[in-house]
Amino acid sequence: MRWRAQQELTVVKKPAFTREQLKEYAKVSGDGNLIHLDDSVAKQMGFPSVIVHGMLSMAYLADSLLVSFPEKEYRILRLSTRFRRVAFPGDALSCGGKIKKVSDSGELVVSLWAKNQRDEIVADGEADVKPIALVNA
Amino acid sequence: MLEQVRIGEVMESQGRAISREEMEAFARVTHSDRFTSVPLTLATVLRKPEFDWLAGVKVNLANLLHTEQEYEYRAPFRSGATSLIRTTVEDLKERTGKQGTIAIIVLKSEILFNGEISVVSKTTFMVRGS
Repeated sequence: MRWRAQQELTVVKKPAFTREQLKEYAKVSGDGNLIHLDDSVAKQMGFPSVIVHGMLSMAYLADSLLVSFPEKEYRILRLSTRFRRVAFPGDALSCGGKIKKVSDSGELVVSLWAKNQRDEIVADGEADVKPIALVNA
Repeated sequence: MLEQVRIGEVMESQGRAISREEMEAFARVTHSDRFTSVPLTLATVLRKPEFDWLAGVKVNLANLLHTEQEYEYRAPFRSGATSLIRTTVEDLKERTGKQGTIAIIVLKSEILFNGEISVVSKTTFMVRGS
């Protein structure tokens, strides 16, 4: 596929976060911060309930990137994310983005966003993407 | 509270091997359905030394907010291979406002397999009430 600047990526809807998922993610990631697991700790910190690990939102962004840039054809060289807003269990993210820059050789800089069901930006970021053909050249 | 932290301070920790089962569990819980190799954020599971370090400098992890994350991929991530994690304090800023003191800490972790850097992670944490 030949990309051009400003071209939109396919928007991907991810499943809503669940409390069970946060517990499981804490186990597999080693991030057992109680703010993600215990309502009373989250409330002490001023949140209405436990909050979703930012890295889960980033993982959603990463996976959605592959819809437009499948592993067989592209290599992701860099992925950065800013966590703009806290997400809670029950929130469902949609992930999208657009092409920011295309180099003469075909390397891409892509801007990314993840929005909740209220259309609020939860996270945004950027990725550097290179076609495999250029990696192997 | 973070007086003992020095910008440029480096910590090295022995990593561990990530099993195929662990990788699959990570992919499942993050709904990383499209990866045929390794989920891009899998390196997160090797960043425990960052949290150990933060606890070591007396940061209450409940006060910690993760504000930014960057992964740079230099070489294929190797599941099953033991890693070395080299973490550097890139930046530390503290400021005091209406809600007390806030510290912004930037940690860079290089994840090496057999001496070769595979992933470079840059993490920005905000510590409230520090």
